[in-house]
Amino acid sequence: MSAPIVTPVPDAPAAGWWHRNRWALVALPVALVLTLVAAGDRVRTLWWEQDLRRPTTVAAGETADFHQRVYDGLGGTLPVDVQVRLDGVRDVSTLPRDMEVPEGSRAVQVDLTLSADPDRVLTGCLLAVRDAAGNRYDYVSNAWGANQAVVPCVPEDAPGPRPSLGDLDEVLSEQDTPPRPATWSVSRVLVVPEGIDVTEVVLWWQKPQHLLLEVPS
Amino acid sequence: MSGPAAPPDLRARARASGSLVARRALDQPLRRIGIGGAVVLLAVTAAFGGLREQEKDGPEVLAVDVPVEVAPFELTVHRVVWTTDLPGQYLTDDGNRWIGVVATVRNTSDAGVLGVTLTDTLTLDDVDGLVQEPSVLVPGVEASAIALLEDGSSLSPVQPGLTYEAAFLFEQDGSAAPPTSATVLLQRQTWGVGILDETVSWRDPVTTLRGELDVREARSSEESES
Amino acid sequence: MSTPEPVGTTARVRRPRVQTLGAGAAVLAALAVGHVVVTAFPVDDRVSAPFVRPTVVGETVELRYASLTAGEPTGSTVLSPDTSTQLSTPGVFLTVPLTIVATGQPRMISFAELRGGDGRTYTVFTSGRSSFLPGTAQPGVPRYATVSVELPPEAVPGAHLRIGLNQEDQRGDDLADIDLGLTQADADDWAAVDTPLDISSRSDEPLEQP
Repeated sequence: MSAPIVTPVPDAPAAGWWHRNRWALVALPVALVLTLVAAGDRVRTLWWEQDLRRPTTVAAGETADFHQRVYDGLGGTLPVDVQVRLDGVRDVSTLPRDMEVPEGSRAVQVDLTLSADPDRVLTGCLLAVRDAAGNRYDYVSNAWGANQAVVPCVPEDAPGPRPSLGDLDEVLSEQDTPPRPATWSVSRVLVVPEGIDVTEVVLWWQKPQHLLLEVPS
Repeated sequence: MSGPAAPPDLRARARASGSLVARRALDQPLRRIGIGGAVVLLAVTAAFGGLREQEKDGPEVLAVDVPVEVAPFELTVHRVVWTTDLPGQYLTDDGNRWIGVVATVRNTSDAGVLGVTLTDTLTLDDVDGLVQEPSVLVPGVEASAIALLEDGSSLSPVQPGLTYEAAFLFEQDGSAAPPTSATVLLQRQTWGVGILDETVSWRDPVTTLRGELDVREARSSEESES
Repeated sequence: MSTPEPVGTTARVRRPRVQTLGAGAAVLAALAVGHVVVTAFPVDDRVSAPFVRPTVVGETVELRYASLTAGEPTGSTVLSPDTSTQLSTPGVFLTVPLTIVATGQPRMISFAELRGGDGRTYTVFTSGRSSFLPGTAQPGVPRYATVSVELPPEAVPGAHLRIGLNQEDQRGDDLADIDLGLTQADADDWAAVDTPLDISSRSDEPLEQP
């Protein structure tokens, strides 16, 4: 028999469990973190980015700076840098053409003043109002019989540059609208149920970031 | 390297143990162990149907006016005709023509299916100048529309328990001659989940019937039918 | 401690092997128990099942995302939708007017299917011969829409209409199940009618009852 036999040194203290497994113990928290990150990969796309979760709150009468990099659909991002002020929310004096407000509802007008570099792409914004209970009512350009501006946050006749559509740019006709002014105002009409008070105006480009503009009471 | 694959000390222990089986096994070269393992593995598959007779491969011959089962449908192909004008259907170019496979369609499953599943079921082959590119999922070219003869509407969803008379429409370029024959392929599908996609649906189309059918010009009476 | 005894050697070689075998058996046992736990209780379907909220025609049902009221169903063999050409069927078209009031935020309710009295499921898509596309409903502002389903007359008696939020996926969410209260007499009547049934797929105004 020539099998090697390890004889323990009598005086040496027996190596403890913690000591023997020290490298595994070091690796354990790293492995746990990696597991969570890998398993949580879709939390961002399937949950976090699916709702309005990161407000930029603007007190009544204040002007807010809003910055976000939004996905451009071509694998890159575009900057949104804009200043927004809520001028007011009031009952509509004259309805948009052909708008018929259903019974039990009323039309409210949201007046905003915005400023941005005329080269900034601002298409793709969405507008809504909220009541005290947190219910959200969206601006819909083509509803209640009326046709309002498709993009609620830019002037209809001078919306500014549109985002690149990749290869499609070549076949699309040149834009012939005048450049967007540095500062402009928009008034958009939304339909809400009678008997609710609009307490917040919400403006966003891509969730979860959004502007939360408080309505002066 | 054709010596024994097992390490020397293991072999030594096997010798010491006095077991003949262990000693002989450990003295084998690696290659022989590998081959033996593969044979054992193949033998084990017999328990899971590895020795079951392979189903007949290659499609059967499709005959006109005979109902055939191509899950989830029962299809009866009646005729293949061509025409230049169909009400409610629009060619991509005025000079082109429609080739229509007229068939009776029944959904034999217990739930309605959308028209896309029906589109995979019947395809056309061996016709020159078809406008639509050959499909990547099924052999042949898929119909660009499936029109109900009764009202000209697109047949979707296909509900169970109903018998529909429909025309699978394929657009042919006008510069090609009208075909005198065409190959009609029928695909059977299976209800299940995909390898990466967990939603259950009709998928994995397999061609089970194939028929070379005569093509003639549609009579006006047939056109008015639709 | 220089001449090891043969007996000690065997003991030392064997002990780890027993331990290894034991550990292996423990791992296999754990896997087997896990497999039993996962497969022995058929709860997968129940865990992902929608929360079915039963109701009947004319009675409002409160769902997580909207309140829903079904009107009186009607049928014919010819349908004249406002969004497509006139349709004819070898069976019957069944139409159900719905009133949708979203709750919380704008909702685009898009799932509908008909559970026939014959046990089969009749698919409803956003377009086509069996369709439902109400568009977006704002909270508190009623939205009116009509579901139309093509089905054989024998599936009409006892049919239930199911309405949900997501066309693709109804798992774990509220699902309205409306007993349409239909009988064989309804089916026979409709199968005999060939006057086109005019339907408005969706509207902000209450639908006219035919």
